[in-house]
Amino acid sequence: MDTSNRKILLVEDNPDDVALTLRALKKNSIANEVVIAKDGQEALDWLFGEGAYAGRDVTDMPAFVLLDLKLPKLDGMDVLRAIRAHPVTALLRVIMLTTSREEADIVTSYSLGATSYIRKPVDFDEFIRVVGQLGLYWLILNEPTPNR
Amino acid sequence: MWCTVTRMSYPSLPSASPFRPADDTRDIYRLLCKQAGMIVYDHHLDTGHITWDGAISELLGYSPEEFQHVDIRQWEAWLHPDDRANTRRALDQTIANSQPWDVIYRLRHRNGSYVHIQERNGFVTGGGRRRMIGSLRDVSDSRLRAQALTGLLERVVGAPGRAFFEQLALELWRTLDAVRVYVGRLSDDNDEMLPLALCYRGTIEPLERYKVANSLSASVLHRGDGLLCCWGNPGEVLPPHVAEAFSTWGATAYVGCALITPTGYRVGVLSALFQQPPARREAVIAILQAFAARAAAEIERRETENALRASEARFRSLSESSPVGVYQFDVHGNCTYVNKRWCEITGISFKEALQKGWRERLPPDELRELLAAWEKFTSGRGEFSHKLRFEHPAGGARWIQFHARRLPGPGGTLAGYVGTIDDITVEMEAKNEIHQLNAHLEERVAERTAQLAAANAELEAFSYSVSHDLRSPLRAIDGFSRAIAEDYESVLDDTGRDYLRRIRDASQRMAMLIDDLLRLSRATRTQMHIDAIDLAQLAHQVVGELRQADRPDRVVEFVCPPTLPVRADRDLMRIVLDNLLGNAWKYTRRQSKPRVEISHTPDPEDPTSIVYTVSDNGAGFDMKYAGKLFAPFQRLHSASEFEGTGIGLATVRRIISRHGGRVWAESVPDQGTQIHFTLKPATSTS
Repeated sequence: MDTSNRKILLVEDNPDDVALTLRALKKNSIANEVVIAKDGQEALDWLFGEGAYAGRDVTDMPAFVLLDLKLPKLDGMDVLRAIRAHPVTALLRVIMLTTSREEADIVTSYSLGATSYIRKPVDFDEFIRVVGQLGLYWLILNEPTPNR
Repeated sequence: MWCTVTRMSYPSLPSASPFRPADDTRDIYRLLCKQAGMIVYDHHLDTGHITWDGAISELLGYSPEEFQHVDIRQWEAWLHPDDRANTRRALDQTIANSQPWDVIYRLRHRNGSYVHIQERNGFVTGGGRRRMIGSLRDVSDSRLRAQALTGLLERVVGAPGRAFFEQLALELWRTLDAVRVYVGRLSDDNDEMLPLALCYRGTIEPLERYKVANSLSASVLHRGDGLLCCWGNPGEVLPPHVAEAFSTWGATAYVGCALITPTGYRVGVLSALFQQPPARREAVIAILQAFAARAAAEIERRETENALRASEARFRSLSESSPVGVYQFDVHGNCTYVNKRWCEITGISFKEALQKGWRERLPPDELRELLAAWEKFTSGRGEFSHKLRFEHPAGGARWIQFHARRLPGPGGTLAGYVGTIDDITVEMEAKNEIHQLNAHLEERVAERTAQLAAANAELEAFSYSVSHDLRSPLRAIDGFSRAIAEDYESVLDDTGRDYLRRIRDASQRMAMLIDDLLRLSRATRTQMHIDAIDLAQLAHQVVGELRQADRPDRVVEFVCPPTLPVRADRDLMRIVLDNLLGNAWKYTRRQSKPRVEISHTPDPEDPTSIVYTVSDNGAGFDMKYAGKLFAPFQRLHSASEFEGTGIGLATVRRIISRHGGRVWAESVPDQGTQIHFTLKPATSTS
């Protein structure tokens, strides 16, 4: 499967942050389609093909999820918990988006299995560092990915 | 006519009531009387006729026949001139009152010498006629006389006050044929002799007190056996002024005895002066010593009695003026005394207290409890302590506190109980009030704690909201400014770009402020985990990070002891060192040889803590602003000079305060700053 075609799920309720994140990705030649969920419930519905996304091909898993910590309805930690609890999504890469050092502390202390975290606004330098850590260069460089 | 004697104490004679013996028994009695050396008489008081019998010739040198006509007048004529008046008076009294007597006097022997006679008598009334029947015996013999005197003395003991000693002196004078008999006691300070009695030639005479020092009494008292005798030639034995006094009294011999109490104290002197040295000196000494012992015992007894009376009086006067109620019980549990205050507190009269006590004043339950507590006290050991509430007759409930102790009697016996009662109504009411206040206070504390917890939770939510919601618009401002700067660079002139830069600087500065504020609030509210930590190790970590973030060419000398063990919260101390070392790093930026040091000294104000100091040789500040240093948002340098939010030191102060320490600063502009803080070293507490 050509991962360069795989989607990126961005779970973010703040339109400013959505715009800035999309700009940061675009600015850095990441052409992957970005699916935007405006709250935690929508994110889970999309992932599991439920609710408004009933019938969606759930094998079409995103390359990774950019998950804001603070969300309406279900917050980021709830979503992460649900993702890790479900066998289909248990191994999904999830990058938490935090707004403060305090939130970063929360993410690390919960250790619910967030793959990594990025402090908002999504600064390209930091983004590069994180994807590098995650071994996702293939993704942003539009390189073919080995099957994993 | 012959009758037997009465009140005879000799074993050979029956001590029976008067009876009329048969003729043959009369002969036996006559013989016995003769053998015992006694004269007996039967004095018909209506006729004045006296029948004499017994050892008349042995005692007085006359034949019985010569004695048949001896009457009272003749007997009186034979009495020693010194004894005459007293003895006659005593005889008249004994006849008038029909009171048996027992006296000693001197009676003239046919040969002109005087014999010490003890006379005892009794009265019988037969056929309407009163008769006095008695016996005379010679008591010149010392042993007999001493016995007689002891008997006398026993009667003297009953005499009240001074009369005892006066009678003693008089009897001794008469018995010993002395010129002068003196008995005196030492004053309490042993300085003076206080006369108890002085008999001079049969008369009780007054005598002033005198100094003991250098007196004859002093000599007596200082003798090992407490006895001083002078048998003639006083001028050779005694000091001149004493010898002179002897001649004034017409005396040549002297015997002085110390009054030695049964417990061994010398409390006075008994002395006798004689015209001529007496023939039977041992007898005289024995008698004087016997009397001295008796007198000493009497003095001691009276002193004890006086002391008792004084202590009793003291107790009464104390207890009457006492602010607490006082009561006494005898061993049988009868109330024997209550003071005025007791009556006031209880509203029970003295009379009722002694008769009924509390019995009719308490509800049955309270009374039962009181009696049970008392029973427990009297049957066991320890003290009595009991509290009860009752209705005062004057109205209103009162609280009373009881106490009691055992009163020790002589020889470890129990003499009774003495106790106090105290009106503790005010205290009990105050105590109840305090209880209520405490309960109320606890309620309020719980209420406040809940309020505080709610406020804390609110603050927590607020902090979170600040950290997230305030930053979010800021992020947009910054992010889009950047986007404009990057994406529309070509359409912006320099001024436009400058404005954008200013927008970004301002928003980043605000982000920094928010971060610092959050840190300050966290420093205040996070739970502390006090542990033994090494401040030096933490400092090296911080310095490492500072070096990494610094310009690579900048070299800051850092000096720190190898270890600094303290008891503190690691995370919070990390914030403290971040701030203090960060400041030191920052303010030494313009220094050509920057130096930062951590040192420590004992705390002069608290021996259990240590003063730690972070010093630098940086920009420093004017000490007149030192007070502002630790308040939030107070800065002593402009942002263009040194960046910062002014929250760091406020955070440091909160953290150190939470550890129970103090923070203060010292600085000289352009020479450097020392920030001091105190902490407990890890070794001082367990």
